[in-house]
Amino acid sequence: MWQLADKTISSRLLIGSALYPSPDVMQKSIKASGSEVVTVSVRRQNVSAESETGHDFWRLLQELKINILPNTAGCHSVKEAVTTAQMARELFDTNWVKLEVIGDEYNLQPDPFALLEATKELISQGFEVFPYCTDDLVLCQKLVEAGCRILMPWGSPIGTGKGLLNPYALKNIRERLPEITLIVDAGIGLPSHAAQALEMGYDGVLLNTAVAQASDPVKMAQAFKYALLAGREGYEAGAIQERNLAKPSTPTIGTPFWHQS
Amino acid sequence: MMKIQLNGEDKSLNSDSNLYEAIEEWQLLGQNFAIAINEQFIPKSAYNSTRLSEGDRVELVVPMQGG
Repeated sequence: MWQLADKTISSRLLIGSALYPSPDVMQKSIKASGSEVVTVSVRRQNVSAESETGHDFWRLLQELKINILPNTAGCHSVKEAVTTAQMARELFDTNWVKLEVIGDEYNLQPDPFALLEATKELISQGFEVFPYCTDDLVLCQKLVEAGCRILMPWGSPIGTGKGLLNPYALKNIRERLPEITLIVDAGIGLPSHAAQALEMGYDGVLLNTAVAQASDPVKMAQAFKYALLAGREGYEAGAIQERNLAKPSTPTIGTPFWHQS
Repeated sequence: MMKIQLNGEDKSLNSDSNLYEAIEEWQLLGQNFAIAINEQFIPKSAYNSTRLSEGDRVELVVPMQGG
């Protein structure tokens, strides 16, 4: 069990609810992943089409009885992000928010300046802010100074599946902010990427596309579940130091034919 | 009558309608949604006391899939 903000949960996987081939596959995948936190968003209701899509989706999610983490995806300014977070708080009845303020449309990179400003405002309004940020140490430190107890640096840009592009920077954040809950958010493509993040001492990973767009999302969700368990146990077990020279693992004393040739 | 925008679409409403009356008019009472007017969040408790004005931009959002 581990502590995520005010909740004690067991799974270290936070999973998205978008891009699945069907609502049924979404529900089955989330169950198979073992995740206890699912991300959601808010979007305009299509009033004229009498669409019930949003409500059907919400019913399916409620059946899973897990924690909801609303995001501010698509927001490009502090004002948009703050208002979206306020709407999400009322809609989902939670003060948790995955704060996204996009600064670059091409690689969906967070805008660090707007992110920090929006974080300060939302914390002053009682939100538990999960900021989606870059792997810049100084930004992470400023977010902590602003009151964040959780940080979510990217592994690589959203949806790319490239994994952890800058392990050095991510390790540095882990070492320098030992008390902060760290979650790698975005860019995870393979179960091994998730395991790598946890082996480094990250507390969890947040992903969506890697499961939702896999050929078999339910099976991939399960693969991530096992990868996270392996990664965390590997971290807790304490890995060996890397070395440059080979060292035999089989004892050399008593080796047959020793020095005969 | 006055014109406002609901999720980017033009809508006509009786002048001096409050937000609660507008929601009633749009047949959305009882549904799960949240509202912002001109990028300002309006909590449910303020629907009755919020007057709409000509040209207001109303955003009405519902739960949706997200990553």
